[in-house]
Amino acid sequence: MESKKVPKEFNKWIKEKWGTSDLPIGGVVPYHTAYAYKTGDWSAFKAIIDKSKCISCMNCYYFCPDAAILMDDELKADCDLEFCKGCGICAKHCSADAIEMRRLTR
Amino acid sequence: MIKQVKGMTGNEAVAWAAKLVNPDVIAAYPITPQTIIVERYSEFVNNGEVDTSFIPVESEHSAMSSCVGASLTGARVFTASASAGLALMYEILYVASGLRCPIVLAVANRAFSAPINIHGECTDQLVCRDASWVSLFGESAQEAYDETIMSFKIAEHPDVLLPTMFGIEGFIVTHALERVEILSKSEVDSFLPERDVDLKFCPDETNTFGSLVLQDYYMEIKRQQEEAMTNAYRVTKEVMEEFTELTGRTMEILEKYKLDDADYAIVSYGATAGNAKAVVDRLRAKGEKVGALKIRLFRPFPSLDIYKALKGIKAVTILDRSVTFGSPGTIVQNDLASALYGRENIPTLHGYINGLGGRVLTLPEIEEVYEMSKHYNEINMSSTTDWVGYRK
Amino acid sequence: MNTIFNLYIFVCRVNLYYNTMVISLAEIMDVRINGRGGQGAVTASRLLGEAAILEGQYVHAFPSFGPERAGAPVTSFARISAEPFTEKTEVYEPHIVVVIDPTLLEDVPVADGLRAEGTIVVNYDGLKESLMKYFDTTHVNFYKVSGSKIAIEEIGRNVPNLVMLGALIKVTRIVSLESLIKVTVNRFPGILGEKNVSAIKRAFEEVE
Repeated sequence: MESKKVPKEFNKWIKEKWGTSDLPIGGVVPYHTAYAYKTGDWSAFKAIIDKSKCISCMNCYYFCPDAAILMDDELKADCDLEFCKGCGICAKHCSADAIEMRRLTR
Repeated sequence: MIKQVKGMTGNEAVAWAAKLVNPDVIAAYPITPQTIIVERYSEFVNNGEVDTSFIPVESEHSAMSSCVGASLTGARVFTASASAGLALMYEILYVASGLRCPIVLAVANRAFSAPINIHGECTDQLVCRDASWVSLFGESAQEAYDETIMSFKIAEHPDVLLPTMFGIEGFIVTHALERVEILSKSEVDSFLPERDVDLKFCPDETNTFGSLVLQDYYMEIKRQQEEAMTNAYRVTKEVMEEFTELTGRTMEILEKYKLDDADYAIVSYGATAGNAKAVVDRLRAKGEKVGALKIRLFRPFPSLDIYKALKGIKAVTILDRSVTFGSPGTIVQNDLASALYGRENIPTLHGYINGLGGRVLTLPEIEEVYEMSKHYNEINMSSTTDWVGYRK
Repeated sequence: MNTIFNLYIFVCRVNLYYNTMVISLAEIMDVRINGRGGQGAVTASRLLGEAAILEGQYVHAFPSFGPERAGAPVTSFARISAEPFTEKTEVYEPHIVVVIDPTLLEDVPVADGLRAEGTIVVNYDGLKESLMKYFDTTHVNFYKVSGSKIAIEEIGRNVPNLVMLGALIKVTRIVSLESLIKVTVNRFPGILGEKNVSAIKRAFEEVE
């Protein structure tokens, strides 16, 4: 799976501290800013996907509140653990019972 | 130039003017006394006379939310509301201005509940003064017509990009038939070109709109709004000058009526200003040196213009058709006091809360409050606030 | 201090009353239309206003909105002038009063605020002289027309609003018959407009 890159403009936004006159109006910020925040390390659970059971219904893809589910080349569900907060919504909505939430032990 | 004239109520004037503007999107929810604006406009949409997308929503909160969404995509957006509806929009008013959506909102000024009341009073619009919206008041159906067209031009100016609201008072203007000089489609098209959008919400340009912004940037973004407000003052003046050239009707941010040699002045806004001018005529006939000042642009508040207009006047009677409780003065009086404080040669200010819930302050009653202000001035009271036109 | 002030106000009021009569009589005509919900008092003031606008006059015409229901007493107003004016209040001292419904004479003080030498036009089927018992007729010009009868015969329904306007313009000439007919036909295209026009013309002839 490809890693998600933070756009350059956002690094500028974070580091340079633009003033009133330089800032784009309306609080518009560059796209993909969420990539800068690796929220995956908040989680107490992680989604373990059994790809052999996956029927590619894409329920998990649409229900994931953090867009952490991505579909791989064979259109099977895959979880980006850097962003998965472990909420379990995907497991609840999986129509093939292919996702299991497992407690993380650090 | 031959002037086309049509008999229209205030609401119809707004709808007909909006028809000429032909906005891309209208999302509105009906509320008395604004209903007819939306009703007429939906007829235009239904008859195919305009190509506006009309979104019937389930509340004013949704109406303004839809407007914000549509405006971000670069569309020209219009909506209308009043009183409780405007109060329900209040949250999204700040979103609209914060996201710099040049939405135009027609307000049919109506009293707030409770007790429930459908009649004219301007509190609903005045309390939106801090929402970073350009705010105008109209006196008649003609001004409603004119301000509808001008509001788009003010709001969409690249130096402004702030939403704009204009108010006409419920029933006494919105439902009253008046003579309106109308414009042609080509005149409006030349006055108001297509909206030019720099940054918009579309699949080709990836940006995040309405994201979380915390301590590090929030204040800068608010400061940008303040600078836009400052620009709005200049832009409004320019737009009104241009409109005056187009129509031949003088349109200014302040209307001065017989003020040049006046010792006393009556300051008001909206329909009350019409009555104030009538009273000035009556008092002038009696030999009183009095003039009237109508505030057409309420936000940004034209402090310096007001000072210039009122400089050298002895006492000012402020007819404020709105109510504020526990305040040092009426809403407009507070602003006037701030605008004039510390300057030289300023008048004493006498604010009067009147006309709540459609109560009419008759012309003789206005003359009475004028005499009252003169009396206060004579006994050296520099600022007073009273309620008038109610039973003790 | 308060007493002095009240006295002051009282003096002003007396002065004002005098001035009111003199100043605006010359320019602005204030019309009040008294009717009942459903009889078209609102439409009447609107069409009167539109007719005046058609003639290039300036108008402020509006109904008094309240808890509207069929049969309740309703008033609407029209302020008409050849010159621009800015007043935006309800009409308290009309020059002209139109009473659309005869039963209002019993219930409502229809001549309330009517100016001296003002005009009142009533939809009334009886003798003109018997109107004297309903209001003080000494200083006003009063006229009557059998509006309901004309409306039922010409239009087929007891909606005498435009009928009364026909009578009104005969006795006051604030707008011309042609203008009134024009706006009526415009508002009610087709057979209803034609019926109303013939009713207006009949009232124009029959008012006494």
